[in-house]
Amino acid sequence: MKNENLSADDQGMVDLIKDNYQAPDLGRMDGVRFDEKLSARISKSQGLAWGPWALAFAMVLVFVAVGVNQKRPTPSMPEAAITAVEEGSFEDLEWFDNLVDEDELSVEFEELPEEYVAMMMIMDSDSDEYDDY
Amino acid sequence: MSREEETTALDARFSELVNDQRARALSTAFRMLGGDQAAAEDVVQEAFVRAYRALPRFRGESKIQTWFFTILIRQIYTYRRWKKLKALWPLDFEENVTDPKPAAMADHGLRSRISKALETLSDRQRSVFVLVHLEEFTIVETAEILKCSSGTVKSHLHRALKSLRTDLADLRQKPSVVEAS
Repeated sequence: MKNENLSADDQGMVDLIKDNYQAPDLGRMDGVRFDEKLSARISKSQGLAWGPWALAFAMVLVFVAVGVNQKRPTPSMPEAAITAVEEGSFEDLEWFDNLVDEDELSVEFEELPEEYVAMMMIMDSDSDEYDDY
Repeated sequence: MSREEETTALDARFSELVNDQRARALSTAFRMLGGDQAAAEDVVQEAFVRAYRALPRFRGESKIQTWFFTILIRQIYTYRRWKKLKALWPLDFEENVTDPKPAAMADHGLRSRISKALETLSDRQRSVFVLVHLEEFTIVETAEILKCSSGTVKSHLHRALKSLRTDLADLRQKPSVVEAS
């Protein structure tokens, strides 16, 4: 096709590209093979259409199951208690007892770094309440 | 209209789309994918699959041909990006290292030259050049397909022609060399 906006030179170049750069089988293609492959591909894609939804649903189920079975999250050690340990002002055990209840405390002690436990043992050397640690 | 009738009408419309656009789509993809016929076929098929899925939502605000070519061009861009990624991490994609080129391309110097010249263009420049000059879409249709203004299309066309003029200068000046290659 002659493009009115092109110079004769450019038109020549475009024609050169057009004539020499086309799919080799295009002229002979009757479309049957292409259509057969396309049909198969569409059928496959329809089959797979539920795939992502099924996967998402399965993932939700897994998350719920994991969430239900997961151990109740351990409350974090109150910031004030950690500061008290670090600053060595942990003599007042009554104050500490009031800060966290026994159940939570036992969990927290298991997770405390060894040096904190050691510090607390030194500070509370008169007490045999936490001998297990 | 029952659901069955809707599906039948949809299938008929889709078949018409495939019959009308198959050849032009393959030609466009071939020319935009460095003359890789296998890749062109794969990309066009994927574009048709996407069109089939989206066809129920096509509102007819543009020509169906323009709508389909928008899908096709995006698919071509996606393929080209994917190919660039493969080139970046060849070890992860060893099974695809031997990307077969059509036999006709392998020993055809002129086609190879044209392919290389087109590859130096940006995606947009290549798209507008192929759509307007090789596939004979109008400037307005091309702008619709690429979702940009006609001015932008013209600007990309100008740059594409300028680049091709330089890259293929020797071919234009010495037609006998072209024939010899």
